[in-house]
Amino acid sequence: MTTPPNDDPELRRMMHDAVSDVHPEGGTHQIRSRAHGKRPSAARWVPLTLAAAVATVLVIGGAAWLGRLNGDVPAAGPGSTADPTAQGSAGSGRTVEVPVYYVGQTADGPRLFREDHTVPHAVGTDLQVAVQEALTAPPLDPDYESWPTSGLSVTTDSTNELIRIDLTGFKGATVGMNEADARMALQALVWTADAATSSALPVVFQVNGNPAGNVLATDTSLPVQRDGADSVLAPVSISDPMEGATVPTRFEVKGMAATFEANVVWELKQGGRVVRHGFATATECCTLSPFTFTVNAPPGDYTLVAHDTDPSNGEGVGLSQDTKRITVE
Amino acid sequence: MRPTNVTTILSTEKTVPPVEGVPISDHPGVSELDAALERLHDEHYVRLVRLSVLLLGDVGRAEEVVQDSFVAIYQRMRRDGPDVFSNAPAYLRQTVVNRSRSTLRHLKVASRQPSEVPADEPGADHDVWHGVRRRAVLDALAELPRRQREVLALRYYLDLSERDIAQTLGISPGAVKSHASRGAAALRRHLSDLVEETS
Repeated sequence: MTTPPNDDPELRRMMHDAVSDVHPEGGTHQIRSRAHGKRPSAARWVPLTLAAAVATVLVIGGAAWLGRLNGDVPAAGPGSTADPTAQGSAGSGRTVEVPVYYVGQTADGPRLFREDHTVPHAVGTDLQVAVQEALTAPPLDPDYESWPTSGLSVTTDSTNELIRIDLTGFKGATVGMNEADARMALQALVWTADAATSSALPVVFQVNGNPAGNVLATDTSLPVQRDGADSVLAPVSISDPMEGATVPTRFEVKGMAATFEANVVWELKQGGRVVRHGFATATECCTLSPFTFTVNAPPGDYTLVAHDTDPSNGEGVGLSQDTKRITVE
Repeated sequence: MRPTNVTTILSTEKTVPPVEGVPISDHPGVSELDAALERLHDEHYVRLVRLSVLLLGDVGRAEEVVQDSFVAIYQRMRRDGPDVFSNAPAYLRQTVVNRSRSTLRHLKVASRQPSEVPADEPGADHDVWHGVRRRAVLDALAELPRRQREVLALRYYLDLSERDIAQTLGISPGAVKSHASRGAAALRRHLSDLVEETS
């Protein structure tokens, strides 16, 4: 599969030499136990059980808190009933599909991309599962980034007026993390929570059960509204097929784009070779709107790329793109 | 706001077993899954950690990145079957490069400080000199623009073809070529003092 481009033996020797004393010791048992949730997401299951219980209590608490914010008499009581869709029953062994937003890099800086995750053995409301997934599950698409801090657990609840997310174990952004990445990571949670509850509710953030003045470069002393789609969502994203999907030889691609003149350029590649390519037009110009196109391709493994118009003659620099590795069968 | 009656409510909730309590035999292909993981680990783990060291300049973080990547791929295989990836090594490689990149970005401030050259006595012995030289190469790599560093590491450490580098980084083969030649020249420039000293 590879041809050693041994055209610079000195450089090659230096590279190998530079890391020749690195002897990592991590074995598969560590990987397996972490994958089975012992670390860092070991805390996941216990807090979830707790969360289901705590939710009922906090629905009232959340509404009272909002009431205080507005200077009203606390509205706790029968008036603050929970959103029935958000407070679904907490049965065990449920398999649910939840929306999850991840940060990925684009020509416009960090932006959010959506994935739909199927979660087996899910516990708690869709909101709880989705936010937990955003915090702890790696993205299916390796181009996106995991949430910046690991080892957190979360409790969530919602009313008709707000969503509350409590981050347990959160100690602040990673040192040196830039502000744009930090803000976007917080927006990923807001967007995930709103999508999971089919709402546009503001989110109250807490840390370890206490009000938090600032989380990830965002003022969280007041409930956080989700920022507008055009300023946080990726300018081009593919929603279907998903990363790693197997598709028939004729398949439809769906996504969202906010591009110049609504143009979306796509390529189906094998390695660097473009096997198929074309253009699509989003339904509206310059604001996020859906696009679709159909691809016919022989069986094989491909990378599907959709991007905005290329200002750099194919160098791939300055493009906003989304790529999916897919198999055509 | 703090729940006061958790115990009461908990007792009415069905307690969910921890995930490791799910009978392993309920999942099809477990041994196949483990065999796939072992194979990937044996063939790629060390090389990928070393690759990540070249990208990040830090052994501890590199190992973390690679382990996270293996956890991700293992979870995915467990969820969707061991055959979910048509090319698992390529996926793994791309995951490691991407995670190294985001780790680096998050730690930019800390990791970009030039590392201290180990104190060496005049006439330092061979091992110390080797250590200095290794560190100099890592520091010189850290000075390069991200793309150049990635292309050089994939090309001269993993021996990937231009086509595979292009695929891993999601850029065109033409871009690989230009990053490689600019990167090699810049790396030589950064290392020229060292080369002069060795010759």
